[in-house]
Amino acid sequence: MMSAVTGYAGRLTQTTKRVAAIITTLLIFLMDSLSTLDIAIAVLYVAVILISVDIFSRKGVLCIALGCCGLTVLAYVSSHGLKCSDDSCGRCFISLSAIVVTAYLALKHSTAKSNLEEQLLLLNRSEAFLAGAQSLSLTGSFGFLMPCTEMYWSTEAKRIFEFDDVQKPTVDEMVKLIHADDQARVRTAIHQVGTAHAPLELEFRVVMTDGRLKTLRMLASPFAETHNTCEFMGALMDVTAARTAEEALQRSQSELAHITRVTTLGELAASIAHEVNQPLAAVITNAESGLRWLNRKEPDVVEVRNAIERIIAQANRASEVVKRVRAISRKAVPEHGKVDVSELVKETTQLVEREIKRNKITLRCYMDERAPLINGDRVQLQQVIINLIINAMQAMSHHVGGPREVLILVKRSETHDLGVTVRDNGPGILEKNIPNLFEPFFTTKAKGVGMGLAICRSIIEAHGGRIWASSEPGNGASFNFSLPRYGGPLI
Amino acid sequence: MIIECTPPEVFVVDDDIAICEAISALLRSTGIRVRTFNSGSKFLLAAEEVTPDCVILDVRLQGESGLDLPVQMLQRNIYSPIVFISGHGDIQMSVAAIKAGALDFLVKPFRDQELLDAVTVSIREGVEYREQTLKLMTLRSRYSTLSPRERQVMGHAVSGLMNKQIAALLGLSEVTVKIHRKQAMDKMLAGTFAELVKMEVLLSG
Repeated sequence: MMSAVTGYAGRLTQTTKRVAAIITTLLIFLMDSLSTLDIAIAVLYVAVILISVDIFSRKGVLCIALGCCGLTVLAYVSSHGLKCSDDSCGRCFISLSAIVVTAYLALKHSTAKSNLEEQLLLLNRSEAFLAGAQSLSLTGSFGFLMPCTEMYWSTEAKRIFEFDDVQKPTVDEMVKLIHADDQARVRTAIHQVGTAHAPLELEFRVVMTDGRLKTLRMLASPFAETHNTCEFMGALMDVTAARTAEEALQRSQSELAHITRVTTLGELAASIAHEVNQPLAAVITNAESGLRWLNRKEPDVVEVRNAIERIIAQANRASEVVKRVRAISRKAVPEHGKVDVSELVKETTQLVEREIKRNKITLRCYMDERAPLINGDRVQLQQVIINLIINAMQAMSHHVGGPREVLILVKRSETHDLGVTVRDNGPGILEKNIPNLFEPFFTTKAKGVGMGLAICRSIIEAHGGRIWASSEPGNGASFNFSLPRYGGPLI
Repeated sequence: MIIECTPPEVFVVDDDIAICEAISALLRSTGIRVRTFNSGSKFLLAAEEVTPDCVILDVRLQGESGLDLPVQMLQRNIYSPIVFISGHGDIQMSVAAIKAGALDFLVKPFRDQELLDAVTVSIREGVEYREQTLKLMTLRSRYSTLSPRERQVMGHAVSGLMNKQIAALLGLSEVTVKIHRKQAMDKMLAGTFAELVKMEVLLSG
C-alpha cells in the first residue's frame, strides 16, 4: 500500500516536473520570439535539457532537444523572417550548437549514470546472495592483514562468534573465546602462517559467553603479499552440528563394535575357559609336586624352586589371558596409537587357538618383517582379525575332504602400507554375494546376524583403510584389508 | 624281574609344555622316570624304541586327536596302558577315551593323588600285562620247537583224550603217542601235565 502511494506520489511529482519543463520551454520560446534584445535567449533551452535528463527517457530528451532546436529556429524565423542577418543568424547558430552539445553530453552522462545504477543493483544483489549463502551454510568470511591483528569479519562470521556490531574483531578477541585446550595451538598456527605467508587450516572449539561449545573450522590463504605484510582472506565454518553427529555416529559404532566383541567372546568362551584352565591345572600340579618334593625324607630344594618358578610363570599366563579378555570386553572409547599388526595377529591367534584345534584346522601365519606399523585402536583391530578368523573357521566347518587350513598373511603393500589377508580353503563365496558381504544384516549363515563383516568394514574404514573379499567358488575365500602405514596418507 | 629293579618309566604327551613339566615334576617326586613329548608323532617314535610303563595322553593335541593315538600304538606294537587327561571332560569324551583303550580319564585340573593312583594302577597292570606277554612269548618260542606231530598229540592230550584214543585217532601206536607226549612236555618245560594244560590255554589266547 505504502509503495503504491509512494509510487503514485512519485508519478505525480514526475508529471509536475514534466509540465514545469514544458512550461519553461514555452516561456523561453515566448521570451525568444518576443524579445527585442540582441542576445541568444535560446541558449536558456540548455536548462530545459539538463532538467529533462532526469525526468524523461533518452528518447524524450532527444525529442525535447529537437523541439528546442525547432523552437529556436521558429523564434528566429518569426522575428527575423527568412532573411539571414549576420548577428542574429550567428546567435541562433550558437544557441543551436549549445542545445546540441548539451543534449549530447547530458545523454552521455545519463547513460553512464544508468550503467552505474545497474552495477550497483547487481552488486547489492550479489552481496545479498553472499550474505544469504553464508548464513545458510553457516560459513562466514574474514580477512586480516598480518602482522597487525585487526580483522575484517562478515556478518555471518560475527554471528558465529556472537560478536555485536560495536565490538571490533581482532585476532586477540577471537583467541580469547577459544577453548583453553586449543588456544595455544591456534596462536602458534596463526603466528606461523603470519611469518610464512602460507595457507591456514584449523579446527578449534570456542566457548560462548553462556558456556556453549562450538566447533569451528577456519581456512585462510594469502591473498595479497608485500615484502613484510600479507593479507589473508578466509572462510570460517560452524561445524558443530557435523562434529556432534560424527561423534554420535562414532559412539554408536563403537558401542555396536563392543556388543559384537562381547558376542564374539561368547562364541570363544570354551576356548578362553581352556586358555585359563590350562595354566591353572599346571599351577595346581606344580604346587602339589612342590609339596611332595618338600615332604620327601631329603627335601629337594632345586625341584621345589623350579616348581614355584613354574607356578609363577603359569599364574602369570592365566592372568595374561584374563587381561586380554578384559581388554576385548572393555567398553571404551577407541584409543589410537602405534600398532604392530603382526604382533596383534600372533596374540589374537593364541586366543582362538583352541577353537582352531577343535575344528581340526591348521592355522598358518606369514608375517612380512617389512610390514609397517599402523595407527589404530588395538582392540578394534583385534576384533576385525578375530572376526575374519572365526568366519574362515565357520566357512570350513562343513568342509569335508582335504585339509582345513586358514592362512594369515601380514605384508607390506606396493604402496608401502599394510596389507592383511585371511584365506581359507572352504567352499568359497557365491559371486552374487560378494558385493553384499559387508552390508549390515547380510548373512549366509543359518544363525548369523550379519553384523560381523559390516563392523569390520566400519572399523577398517574408520582407520582410513579398505576391506574387500575375493573368492574362487570351491577354492576358498580371501578377506583382505589394508591400512595406511603410521604417519602415511589415507588409502 | 627286570621291571622291579629299575623304576618305572612314564611318557607324558601334551602339547602344552607347562602341563608336561608339571606332571613330570609330580611323577618324579615319587621316583618315577618321566619323558615328555609335545606331539603324538614324537611320542610314537620314542615309544617304538622303549615301551613305557604308562602313557599320560592329552585328548587334544595340536593338529591331531589324542584319541587316535591308541590305535597307532597298537599298529606299532606299543602295548602300554594309557591314562587320558583333558581340559574339559564331558561324558561323550570320557566314553570315547575309554573305548579308545584308556585305563583312566582325568579332567584338568586334577588332584595329585588322582593322577598318581591312576599311574600306579596303570603301571601295575602294565607290569602284569607285560609279565603275561613275556610268559606268552616264552611259551610261543618253546611251542615253535615242537614238531607237527608233537603239537597234534599235545593238542589232543590237553583236550582230555586218553593216549589210546589219540593213538586210534592219529593211526599211531600207543607207545609212539607216549613218546611224543613226553617229548612235548620236555620241550615246553612243563613239570606236570596240569602245567601243560595251563600253557595250552595261554597259547590259544
